[in-house]
Formats: sequence, structure tokens, C-alpha cells
Amino acid sequence: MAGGEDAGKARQPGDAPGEASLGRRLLALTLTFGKFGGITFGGGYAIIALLEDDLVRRKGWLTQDELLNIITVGESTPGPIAVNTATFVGYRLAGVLGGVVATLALVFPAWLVIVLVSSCYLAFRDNTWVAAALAGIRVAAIVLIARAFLRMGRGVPRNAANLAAGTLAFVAVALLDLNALWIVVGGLLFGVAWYGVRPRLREGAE
Amino acid sequence: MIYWTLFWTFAKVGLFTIGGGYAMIPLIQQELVDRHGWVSLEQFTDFVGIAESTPGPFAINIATFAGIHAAQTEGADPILGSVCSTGGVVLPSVAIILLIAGAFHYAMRHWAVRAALEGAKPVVVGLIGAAAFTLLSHTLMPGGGAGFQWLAAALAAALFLLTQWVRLGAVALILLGAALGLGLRCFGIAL
Repeated sequence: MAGGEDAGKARQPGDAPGEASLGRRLLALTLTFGKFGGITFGGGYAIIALLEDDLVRRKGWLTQDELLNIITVGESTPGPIAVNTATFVGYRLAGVLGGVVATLALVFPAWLVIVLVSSCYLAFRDNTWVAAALAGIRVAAIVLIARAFLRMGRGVPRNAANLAAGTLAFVAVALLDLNALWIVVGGLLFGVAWYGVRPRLREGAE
Repeated sequence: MIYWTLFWTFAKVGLFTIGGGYAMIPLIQQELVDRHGWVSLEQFTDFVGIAESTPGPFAINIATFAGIHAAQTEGADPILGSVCSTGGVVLPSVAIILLIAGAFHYAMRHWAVRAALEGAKPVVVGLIGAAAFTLLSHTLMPGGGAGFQWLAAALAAALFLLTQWVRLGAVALILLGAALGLGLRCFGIAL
């Protein structure tokens, strides 16, 4: 969806697929999210790290601000974060059809793998080679997520309030094991309270 | 009708869990084990383990797994059963996100929406850091009699330093991790 430039912030131009034909955009979404669905595992954060690396850094389809907004919406709405993020990104790049295509592309490899291993999942689980590869991937995924954390942290304006909010969120989830939903809702309220009194955001020029 | 029941059960799971795939575990367990009796508690524990260690989003994996086994238990087609359960878990998300995404540009005109999203930014970054921390601590200190995993710690540090010096894409990094795990296994070393 390339429209609505007058409202809020427009996407960066560059090689964003907004100018490409719908078919090309859908193909690109299929390949990108199909790849992500096939290689990530665990929670949604590995997907977020992949999106940051691929769509923000390499392809320039999204800005980091847009990705953070999409994650915020994904965290505070029902459903798996990976699916929410895929639908939203797909919609931003190619409308409703894009949202559906990106989601199907994400889901299909995961579905296929489970269909294939389900009949022999005990053998799959007890296979030491599979376990060795997965242990290696797990270490790589940690590095990937840590890198995304550092990169995205650099993109957030540096001030005492942001530092305090980020640290508080980290402690609440990592050490106190609170549900991420409440933390995100807390962040949204914090934003209204903190920036609400500042004329800059009120005027509209972000 | 088992297909409809599967679809509806997982649509509820998709609709009522907020905050990531792992938040779904208690609800899925309640539905599958206690309510419908499709799987035993032992099988369910196995599902969670497999869903964690297969590629793809956790919620999709566990929904697919549960759909296959529930359909088998009821003597129905497992593939169609998994399509219904996975479709069910995804559909509420897609519908809700499409509605929000469609209204997003208009909502962003309001200062309070922009302010709220601006405030959520550092919080979301903190959450990503927490995800890395939790995954790291579970990997290095798995518990259950196993001590500190020095090898995994060294490997994580080495990979991290490598990404600081060499421009390494996400897919390359994941594949490198898998290759290292397999390579160590060749020498009989378990990560």
C-alpha cells in the first residue's frame, strides 16, 4: 500500500518495491517470507531480527521506525508475533493481497516441515545430528537477535526517558518474566504521557 | 465435524493469546489435553519440544502438530486436519492486522497515536534484548544437572565478534550456526 503519503510518514524512496509492479512485489514477498518461515525457529524474535537485517538493512523496503511500529502493533494484538509482523509488512508493501501472500509464504514451510516430521518425530527428536545442527542454529539465532537489539537500540533517540523505559522493559521480561503485552501497553501509555506534553509531536511534524 | 472443531479451537487460541507464541501453550494444552482429549500430556510435552526445535514460528508448528494428531485420533485425514488447525490459528491475526494496517495511516494523524508509538519504541527494543538474554541464559545454563555450557558461550562470543568485523547476512549466520553444530558433531562434540 503506497498511498496515504500525506498522513504521517512516507516510506523512504530508494529501491523500495513500492514502484515495482504488484506481481513483482508479491513474488518478492513470497520469496522473502518463505525464506524466513523455513529458517527461523522459536519465538517471533528471530523473525524480527531477520526482518531488520533483510528488509531494513539490505533491501530498504522499510525504515527502522516503521519496523518498530509494526512490532509494537504485532505485540499488542492477538496472535503469533511472526504472523502479525508478516501480515503487516505484506500489507505495507502490496496491500491486502500482500498481507495474505506474505502470511501464507511464512506459514507454508513451517507447516510442511511438521507434516513431514510428524510421523517420525520421536526419531527426529532423538537424532543427534539433527540436535547438533539445531544447537548450532540456536547459538546463531541468539547472536542474530542480540545484533538486532544493538542496531535497533542505536536507532532510538538517546535520552534519559527512553533509556529508563527500555531498561525497565528488559528487566520486567528478562528477569521478572512478565507478559510482554503489559510491557508494550505500558510503553504506549508512557508515550502518551511523556510526549503528550511536548508540542513537537502535537503539531504533526514527526 | 472434526475439521470444523479443529479450526474453531485454534481460531480461539489465535484470538485469545497476545504476546507471542509461548503465551499459547497453556490454552492449547487446556483445549487439546483436558477438553477434547486428542493428545495425552506426555504427547503434548513432546509437541512443545518438537515445535521449539523445528524451523518456523512456534505457534504454527504446534498448531500443525496438534491438528495432525487430533485428526488421526478421530480417524480423519491428518493433512486436512493440520490445514484447519493452522488456518484457524493464523486467521484471527491476519484479519485483525489487516484492519489495523488499513487504518494505520489515518490513526497516525492523531498526535496521541504517534506519541504512544514513540513511547513504545524503547520498550520494544528492551523486549528484543530480553528475548536475546532469555534464549542465551537457557542455552548456557540449561539446568537439569547440566553445568555451564562453555563451548556454546565461546561459540556465541566468536560468532558475535565475527558479525562485527564481517558483513554477514542473517541467513548466512543461521547456516553457519548449523554447519558449526554439525562440524563439532563430526568430532563427537555435542554443543
